[in-house]
Amino acid sequence: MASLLTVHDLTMRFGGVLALNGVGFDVRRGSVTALIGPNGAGKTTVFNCLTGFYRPSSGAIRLTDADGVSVDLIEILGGPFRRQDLRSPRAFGRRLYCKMFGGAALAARAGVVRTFQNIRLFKEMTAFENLLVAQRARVNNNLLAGLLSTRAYRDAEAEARERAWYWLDFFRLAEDGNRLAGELAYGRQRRLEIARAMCAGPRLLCLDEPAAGLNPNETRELSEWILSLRRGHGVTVCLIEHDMGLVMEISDQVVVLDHGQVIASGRPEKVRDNPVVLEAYLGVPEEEGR
Amino acid sequence: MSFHILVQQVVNGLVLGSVYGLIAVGYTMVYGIIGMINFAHGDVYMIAAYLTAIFLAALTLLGIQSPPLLILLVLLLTMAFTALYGWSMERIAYKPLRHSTRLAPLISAIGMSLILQNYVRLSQGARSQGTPTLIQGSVRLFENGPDQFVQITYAQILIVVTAVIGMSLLWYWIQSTAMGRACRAVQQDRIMAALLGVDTDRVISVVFVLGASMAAVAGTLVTFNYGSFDFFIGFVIGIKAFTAAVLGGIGSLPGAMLGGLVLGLAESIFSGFVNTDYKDVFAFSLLVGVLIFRPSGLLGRPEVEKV
Repeated sequence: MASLLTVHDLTMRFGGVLALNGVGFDVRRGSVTALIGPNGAGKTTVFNCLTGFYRPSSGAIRLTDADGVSVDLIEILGGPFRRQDLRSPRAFGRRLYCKMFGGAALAARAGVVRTFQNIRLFKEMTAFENLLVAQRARVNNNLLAGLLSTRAYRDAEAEARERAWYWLDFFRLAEDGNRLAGELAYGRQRRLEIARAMCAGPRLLCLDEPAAGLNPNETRELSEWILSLRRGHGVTVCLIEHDMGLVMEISDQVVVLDHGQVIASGRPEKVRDNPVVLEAYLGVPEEEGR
Repeated sequence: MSFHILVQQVVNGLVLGSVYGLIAVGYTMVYGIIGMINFAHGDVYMIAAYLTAIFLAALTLLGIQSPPLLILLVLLLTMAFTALYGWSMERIAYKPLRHSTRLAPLISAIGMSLILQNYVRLSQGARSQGTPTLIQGSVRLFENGPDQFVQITYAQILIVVTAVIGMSLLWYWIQSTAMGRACRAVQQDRIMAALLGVDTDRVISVVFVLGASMAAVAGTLVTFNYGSFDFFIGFVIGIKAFTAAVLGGIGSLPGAMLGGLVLGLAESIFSGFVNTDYKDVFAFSLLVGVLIFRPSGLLGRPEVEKV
């Protein structure tokens, strides 16, 4: 039961507003974890912190891979200096490096990739190109290699293309490869966004309301895809979702947030029957409250 | 209205337009990617003119005499060194301000422009300088009589041909290479590109490097053609190229090229047939006219409201 992601005491302040207050949970390797909660509970804020969109005010987010090497995501984003950094020149240098060059790109390279609730594709590029852009680690980004079309460049490019086709096929988008991403139908755009995230080679795939706006058939397909990503491609999935049917069906763990705090977490059926969760969702009737 | 004057002015206009286009590309790419107007870009062109003279002198001292080789070497060296200027400029003046207000880098760009002008004035002197014109000779077309001809110098041909090659390579680079693809992605959604692991700072640096080397091509070729320059030449041509970029639709690469050509042709035909003194007035009136009917420029797309 090794955990891939450990979130500990995560706090996010926007001015005087405490959006997250000491959030903590673990995500086991190869599991599907759902983050649920009423609107404004802080689910998306957690995601934004995980993927480097925001820099949390305090707390720790660690990503540990199978060999036990762990990465501190907050440090990567250029977290503040600590007193113990002064003792070790190496830690100091690393902190300084992350301060200068750190940012969301490093979180993606560490293996956390996300999709958005309101789809953010590169709308004026083809679906295929969208998938190529995500493969930064694979393609040759040398300024001149592309113009001179060197062998290394062509090999890298061919590999990236192959992988892009693989994921287009996987999500049944092959016939849309050369269409502009912005022209695709809504459901297809959603799939393309997940395909693009997979092209970036994630260890932790964060899906923000992947079923929003999908019809029941599409939702069923989506849940099959998510399960097969986990089984066949070794991806750990973390998702925010309002469709409780989907959540109960595919997740191994459910984390319930309310007012920026974790109020319950555990197996889906246990969370479903938890009175605290019901209260957060439905409210307590006036009479009973007294 | 004489046929010969018209053709002659069209030729001159194409040459001028190519130069504007080469510089406008730098404005439009930087605007497209970080939404700022790099006011120091005209001065990068001026730096390129000085570097051309310096490399020309140095290579001649080394004993290279053949003009084609000399032209090629000077062009490549100037491009490389001007690119270095572009890169450092971005690192020093714009990157530290990336996350501040939108206007901060604009002010910083004006400062950079002043610094470059005065650095050149102090180090090279305020007087106008010159290089020998390397490319001599011309061809005459439609010749019938002593005043009836269209003259095209070899230097003009070189400018247009090099501009076309440079623009085509740039276009190919943007459309078909991995880094060009990353560039387009960053232009559309910088944050999303970063979240996918694209090194956005590197992409932005590359855009400055490319913009500067395109301006260097213009600077070198114009210096070969006219042979005279001073520390202030970047200002006027910078404003003109910026106008060309806006005319074509800022942010759009083909727009910058088209805008450059339209502006160059309009200026040159106006000065041939109406008045040389008012050519700038005409050029800017053209800009105003176009912007009234197409507010986002000739090839620019109107800003789509993000839902």
